Amino acid sequence: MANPSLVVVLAEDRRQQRFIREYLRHFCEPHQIRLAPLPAGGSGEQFVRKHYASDVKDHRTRAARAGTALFIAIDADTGTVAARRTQLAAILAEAALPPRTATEAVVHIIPKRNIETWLFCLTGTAVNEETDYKSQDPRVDNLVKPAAVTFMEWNRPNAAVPPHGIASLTEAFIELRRLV
Amino acid sequence: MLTRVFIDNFRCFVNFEFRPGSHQLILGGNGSGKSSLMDVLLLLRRFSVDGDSTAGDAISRQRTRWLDKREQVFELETSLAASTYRYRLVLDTTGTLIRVIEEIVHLNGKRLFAFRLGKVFLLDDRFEAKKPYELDLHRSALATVPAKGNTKLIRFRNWLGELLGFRLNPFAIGARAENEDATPATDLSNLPGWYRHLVQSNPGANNAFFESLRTSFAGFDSLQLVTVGENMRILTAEFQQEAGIRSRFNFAELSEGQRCLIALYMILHFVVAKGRTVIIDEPENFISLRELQPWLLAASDAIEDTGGQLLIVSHHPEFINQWAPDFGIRFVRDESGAARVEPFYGDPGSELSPAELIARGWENG
Repeated sequence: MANPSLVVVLAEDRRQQRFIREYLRHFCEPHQIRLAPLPAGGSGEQFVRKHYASDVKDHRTRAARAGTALFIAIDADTGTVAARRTQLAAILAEAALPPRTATEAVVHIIPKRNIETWLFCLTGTAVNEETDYKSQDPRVDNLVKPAAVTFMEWNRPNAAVPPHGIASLTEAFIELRRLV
Repeated sequence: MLTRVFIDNFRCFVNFEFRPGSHQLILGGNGSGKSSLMDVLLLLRRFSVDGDSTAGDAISRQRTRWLDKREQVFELETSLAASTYRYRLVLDTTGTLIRVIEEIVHLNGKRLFAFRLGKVFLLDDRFEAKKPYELDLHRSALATVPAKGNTKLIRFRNWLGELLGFRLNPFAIGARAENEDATPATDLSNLPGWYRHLVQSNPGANNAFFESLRTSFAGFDSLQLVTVGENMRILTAEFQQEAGIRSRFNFAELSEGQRCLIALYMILHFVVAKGRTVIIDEPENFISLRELQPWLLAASDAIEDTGGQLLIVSHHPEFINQWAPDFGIRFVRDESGAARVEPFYGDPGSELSPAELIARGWENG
């Protein structure tokens, strides 16, 4: 991953935020990562959609002068990753902002069904993308760090994703190529 | 880890119960009791660990003003490895000197120690009763228990002794370290002496401490304790410019914000990262906005990696926006004036940030 001067992370909840930060820590110093506020309750997904356009706009203004990146984390939930991307594209269009270009450092991290699906998958549990694994069990939080390490390993060039890897993870690896 | 606090008849605490988590952001309006929590815990530490009877007097002077009640009750619960300790202290403030009515420690529900009506009932590590003995009932008996043969009880006492609270005052922090100081002052006015102790007792943490400071201060290299007399050391900070030029500053020459930030990382690496319980009252004071989130994230890492516990009292949006949704609780005063604890609910229907919700007074619906 190229080394941006600042990576801003807009996420639905603390687990998503932690996962991305744990991943970024392998490439960035603490001051290069900026976590946007978390929602104060209610739908995290709505919160991300609400702030998406303004964060992209701010990122673009800054990216013209400095190497910044913007990570957007939002669960696919019961829809598809493609549908979520389409929804985000529509938000930009509605805000009269140009669509995201193929090389723009705006990275969509879209776990399906949710971040917990990724955490279990990346730590060796066979999962599917339809079941809701969301859980308040604090032991799930302990999976974040090892999951982020595996995420980084699976994303290495020529790395072999094991058979229990899931499609939304593969799509995330494609997204991360924007930063190379 | 501190898992429960019960206080009755101290300042605004009347039948007050609080169950803190490993990360805890304590919110609340001015005068809601946030700072009083740290004050009472530190007074209890002085009374029950240090054996400082003046702390008992200080506790008794701060009875709840509107109650006509002379008895004060304090309970602490802590989880240490797989064991749960419960400590109960009941004080009678009727006379000119406070009297201990009851002081008890339970371990996993079994009584390990009791002090009642001037008599100490101590059980050994196998819960076998030792011969009771009498003690001055104006002081804590726990503070006097010998370490030998009382490993389990002393484990609790040591935990309480290591519970630290901070309310940083950079104006009080100088550079002179006349000796090694094992106990930090609440305002960290003895930071140089405490640091002198820390690097001796835990030199391994020093590298990580310096690494954190290097990411925060351009050119920071290290802290040094420079000998200026037989026992006197002066704390200095060394910086290196890109051209290789090195500069040394007396610690007191650093800005207030730099001193506070160094103090915060010191607390983090030498205390929280050792799995201990720490309360910090308004850590954001004097610190530049850009430094708050990296410190808070480093604190989260330390807690998650080592099992430490950090209770932060703060009004700062930076802390509120990151910690309130998951770790926020509010101290509020009810109709009688007593403090109680409420979770931070946020507002499910709102897209405002947590800090903005609080600023508008909408945080709990």
